[in-house]
Amino acid sequence: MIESILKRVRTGKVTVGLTAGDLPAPFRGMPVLGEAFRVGNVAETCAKACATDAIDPEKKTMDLGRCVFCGLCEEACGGEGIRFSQDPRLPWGKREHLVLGGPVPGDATAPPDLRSLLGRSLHLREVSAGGCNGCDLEAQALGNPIFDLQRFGIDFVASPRHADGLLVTGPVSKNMREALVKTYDAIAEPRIVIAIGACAASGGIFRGSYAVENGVGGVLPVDLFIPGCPPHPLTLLHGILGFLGKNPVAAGRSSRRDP
Amino acid sequence: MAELSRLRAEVENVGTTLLDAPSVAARMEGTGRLLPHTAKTLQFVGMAARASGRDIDARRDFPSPAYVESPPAKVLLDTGDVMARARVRFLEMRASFDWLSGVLAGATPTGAIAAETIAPVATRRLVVSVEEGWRGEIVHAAIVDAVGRIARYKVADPSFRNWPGLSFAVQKNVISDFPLCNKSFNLSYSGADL
Repeated sequence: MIESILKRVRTGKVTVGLTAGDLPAPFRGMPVLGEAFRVGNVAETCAKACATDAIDPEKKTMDLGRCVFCGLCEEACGGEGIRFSQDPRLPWGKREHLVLGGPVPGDATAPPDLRSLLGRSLHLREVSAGGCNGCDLEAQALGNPIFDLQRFGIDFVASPRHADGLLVTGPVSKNMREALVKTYDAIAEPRIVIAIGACAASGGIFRGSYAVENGVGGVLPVDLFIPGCPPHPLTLLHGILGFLGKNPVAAGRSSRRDP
Repeated sequence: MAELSRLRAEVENVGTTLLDAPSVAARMEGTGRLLPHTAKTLQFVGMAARASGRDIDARRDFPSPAYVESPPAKVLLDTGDVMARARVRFLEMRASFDWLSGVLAGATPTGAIAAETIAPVATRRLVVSVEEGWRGEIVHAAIVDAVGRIARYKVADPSFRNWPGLSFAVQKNVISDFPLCNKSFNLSYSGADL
């Protein structure tokens, strides 16, 4: 008994604030497109190394909805072309907002009525639609004491009937399509759909397979995409809070401590 | 290695906190029993099988080179209750730390992590591969066509074998223990065929 109390005391506070900066290596976060990528043919070298066609050498763009953060492009075309930083804050929003170097029109935050309705209390039903479990584990980690999703009024629930929205992982395998649509239909309106990870955005490494729908976008209306393979819990928090129009740092109200 | 011992200390902390608590033992011992006979009949796999006395481990039965050199330690319990499944997980984590420390101590990392795409090595063939995953054995089967491209690819998820066991384990248990039984098997909800 005394030992278990001591353990709790020794563990102390583990919850991280959202101002935590770069994560330790070898974490790969926000890619930085160098000057060399935008001019000349370095982008072509980068594109050739990319297994998921995330890089468009013509338009000089990098689609984080396809990127699996393997780092092969950085190796192939050098840090002058693409360099992965260790910043977990990735772009989020509609599908087009995930494209680096492309036009980024509009505002990706939820409309004001949704923000006032869900901004202080958002319950999500998670559906894993044929992914590898990577994104699901990171989403599950949101509920642990370190990331503590509940402090923002957001939580995962065990039934779509209890939910305000859907959080989807995976490329949407043909076998999971019906279950996903039924879950969506079971959620009362207004409802939101959040698609996390490269698979949910584009099909990821499964894109083009006969067994998948190449992401959630072709099956359901998606309100928020968050990239990553898998996205770090801080990437998810940054995206979801940003979408709800919250200032992630103020919303955290937690002292800074690096994870 | 430093990272490994840091992680090990955390796992020890969480594992002993859980398994040494009398309230946890009261809840998990004897709950959700899957008898060895049932585990065998259902052809159970993975840690849930090894908690019900079924001595099956793809790392040993179909070893990849690293496991030929250093086989994994055997962890086998036979009470088949929630506690057994929790203990098997904890004991296997300990065994994995030992295994990793042993393997990494003698390792000199060389060679590329990524490989170039290899040219087709065979045509019109079926290949089956078995690997022990965290839920049990994962079976991959691929068929290549006349020019060596993959024509069909099939993955058999370990949970496909283990899901039916839950309905046996929950019998004669109170409804409030259902989540405990369910989660103790750690079954996937969206693996292939599920």
